[in-house]
Amino acid sequence: MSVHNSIDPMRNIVHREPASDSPRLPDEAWLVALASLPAMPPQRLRGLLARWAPAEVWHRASCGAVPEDPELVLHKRSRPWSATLSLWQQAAARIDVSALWSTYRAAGVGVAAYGTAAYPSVLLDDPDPPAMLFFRGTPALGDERRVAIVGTRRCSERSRTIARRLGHDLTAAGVRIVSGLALGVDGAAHIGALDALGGNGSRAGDPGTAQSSTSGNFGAGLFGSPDTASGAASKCDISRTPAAPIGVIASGLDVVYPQRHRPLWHRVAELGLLCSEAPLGTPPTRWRFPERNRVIAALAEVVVVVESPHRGGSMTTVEHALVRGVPVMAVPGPVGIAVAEGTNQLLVDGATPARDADDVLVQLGLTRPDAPASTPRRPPPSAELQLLDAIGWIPTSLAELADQVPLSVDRLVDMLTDLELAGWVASRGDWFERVAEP
Amino acid sequence: MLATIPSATVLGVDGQSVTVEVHVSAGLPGFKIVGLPDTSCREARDRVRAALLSSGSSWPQRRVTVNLAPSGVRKVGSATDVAIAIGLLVAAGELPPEPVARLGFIGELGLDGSIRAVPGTVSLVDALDADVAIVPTASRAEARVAARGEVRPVSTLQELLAALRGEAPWPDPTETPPPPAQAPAPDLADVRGQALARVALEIAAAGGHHLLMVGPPGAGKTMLARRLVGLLPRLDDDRAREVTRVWSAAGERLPPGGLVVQPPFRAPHHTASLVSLVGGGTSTMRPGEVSCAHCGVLFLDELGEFPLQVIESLRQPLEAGYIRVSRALASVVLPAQFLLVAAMNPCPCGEGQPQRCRCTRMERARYRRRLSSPLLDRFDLRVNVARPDVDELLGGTPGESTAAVAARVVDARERAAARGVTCNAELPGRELEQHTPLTCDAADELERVLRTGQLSARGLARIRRLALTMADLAGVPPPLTRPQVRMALHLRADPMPPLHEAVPA
Repeated sequence: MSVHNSIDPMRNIVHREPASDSPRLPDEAWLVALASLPAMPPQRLRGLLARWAPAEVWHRASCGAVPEDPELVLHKRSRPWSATLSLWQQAAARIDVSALWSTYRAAGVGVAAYGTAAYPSVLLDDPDPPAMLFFRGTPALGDERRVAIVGTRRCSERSRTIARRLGHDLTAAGVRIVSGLALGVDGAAHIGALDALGGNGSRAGDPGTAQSSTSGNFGAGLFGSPDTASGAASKCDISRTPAAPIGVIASGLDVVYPQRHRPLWHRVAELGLLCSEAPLGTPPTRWRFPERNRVIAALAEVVVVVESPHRGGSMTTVEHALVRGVPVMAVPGPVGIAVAEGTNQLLVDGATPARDADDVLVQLGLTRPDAPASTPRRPPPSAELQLLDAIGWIPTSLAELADQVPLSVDRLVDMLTDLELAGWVASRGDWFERVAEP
Repeated sequence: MLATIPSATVLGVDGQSVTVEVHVSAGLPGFKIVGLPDTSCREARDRVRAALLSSGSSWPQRRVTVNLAPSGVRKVGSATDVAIAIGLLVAAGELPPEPVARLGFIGELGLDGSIRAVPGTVSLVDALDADVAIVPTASRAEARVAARGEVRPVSTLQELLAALRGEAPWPDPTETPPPPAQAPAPDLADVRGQALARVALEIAAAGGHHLLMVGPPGAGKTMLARRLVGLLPRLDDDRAREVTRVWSAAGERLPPGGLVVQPPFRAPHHTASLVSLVGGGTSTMRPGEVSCAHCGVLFLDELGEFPLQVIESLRQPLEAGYIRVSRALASVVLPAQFLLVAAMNPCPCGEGQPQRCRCTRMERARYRRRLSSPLLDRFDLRVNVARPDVDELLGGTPGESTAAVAARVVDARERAAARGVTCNAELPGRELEQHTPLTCDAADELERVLRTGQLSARGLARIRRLALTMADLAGVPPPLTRPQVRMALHLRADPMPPLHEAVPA
């Protein structure tokens, strides 16, 4: 994979093989050590590996024998090359390569370097591929299609439901969900995916939910139900085997961020693939998130943005997708709500609307656009319809509703509960939010 | 010679009868008080001496021993001053013993011979082992609250001695005219909008359910809480006397009639210390704010700002209706049966609305954690109070008045009384089945919620009590209907839901 120069042409140093214990170490051990160095972004590491074998890169980095090269400096504003070299030297002096490698093996973390068998083949042609990926789970991507579902961390309840439903339905239709395991949309998509994989998505065995969800796309409120995927799956002549999720994260595989998603991390790693460009112990620093989004866009065949304000991490995913020619889809959101302005702008700019899993499957070419739509849900009675109009797309507290609607409070609560059971409204404590349009 | 004069001392809210024995004998002139007096009690010597001299009596140049029996009980405060002075005069032979017989004395002496009021007069007079109570004029109204026959107010030692010697009639101070009527209590009609909060207040007042109001600053939480007292029925005689005893022991100013008839409203600031809240801070084990709110409302504004320890100390009184305060010197039981009303912001920024809130999840979670779930569980009613609707604020129709709501509350409480409790919140769990039958669809609704795991068994009992109060207010006898059960479920909903979702196992 790289040209192995044993002699440094510039300094005319005869390169000797590293110390006596080193020949037994595989390339991955040196790669792990290199990735653990500071000032080693993926692009620079890729540049170094294009020049020398991993063991030699390590040797050169540890004695400061890497010639300056515009391809390695990357930015004009980077620190002086000599400073980079001394950083490497200091760090390398503290790293015991074989000990480091044994910690990786003990932790059960896989290492896939660019060009090796474990490395995802779809990334080989990428304009900016990761130099290496650390992973847990099964690295092989298989033949399943891959769709990224991304969005803001501070999403509305409506979008959380949609992300969850998309994750559920696409997974059930045999599409792998790629996402970043962040709070909000990302996490919801994977929770939906796990629901589909778990076999019984409806955890509570809630009769009300299961009953109401048979008739709608977003029908089951906050909890996915087993039979809701049937609407999507019945139209597609593709495998019904649920596909495993793919999580791409910004920190090291042992640094769970956000902490709340610890169980989600473990489940994704167990059932699918959890990967990161960062070595173990890397904290989730800010710059790593756009880089993580780059990998998500590179792995996906379609990027679905569920909800995003004008500026946000999801928009960097969109930019990376556009660079790679990956189609971008956006879920239409209510007009005038800040958190959905970015996705609506994407639609104005020509992104394909994604209303449900069917739309995404059409984009993937897995189903025909003229397939019969799932049976429409019976609209609520007119009195409840008026109430539904009064409930906005942003969360409203019961106290506010009680003052806006000319109903007695107990009648109001009764109707709200009916609407919630029918899946038009989601509640969280005392807050109510509309989740579907009749 | 020996004189025995009845008096009393107070600990917590309970009075304890004390017999003041004064012995005057030949020997070196001296004065000694025995029988576990505290410092203020021991200092009686100097007050009594000056008061006697100011009143034209002489100080015996003999050996004086004062014993406060029973000598094992700690005597606190200056309530025995007058009894010591009278005992001294009788023992020294300056006053005949006959007119003093069967009289009990309460009061503190000033150096000029004036007789001053002491805290806890109600309990002191109650505890007196005598037929007639002699009390300071200033606390005569208070003293008459005590359940006993004759009370004679006196304002100076001179006056008292003249009356005892038969030189003058017992003073009969003309009743001071009652002060001009107090500012009318805030009325519920002033509140615009707030339909949900009004319902919650009404239910809280009728059923004695503790209420937590969560809302942004300026929504009107404090305004609403102040109007809750007006909805509560006037205290009946027994309770009024009980509350007056507590207030008297705490040294609170009593209303002109002496008897506290309106349910108290206490709103300690969030910087209040633990001791000021639960009581027992002074050597008299003075009752704290929770006891002063006995039979009334304890309002804790900005609940999230109270120190955790202070909030948690409320758990015993909320459960038991009293608080046991133990200090190094004594342990007393103080009554503390109150309706807890608390107000707080939904999160540090105050907005609460999930997409308008500027707090991070961590900040919200940390704010929420300030309330332990056992404490949160004590609140049967947890409602969000929204900022009032603009239309309502500018020229909306005034809401129902306090009087109209209070009438319904009285009716509801009467229905509760027929079940043998003051209010439904006190209904014991074993009687719930009997008093709160459910219609079929109400039972289905409860089953549905129970199966989602959002409701515990204890929660279920509380929901049934709440729904029963709603039925009482509506004047509809049980069985409880589905709308009532749903309403109860929502009034008990978590007002500060965590904004995360569970991960499938």
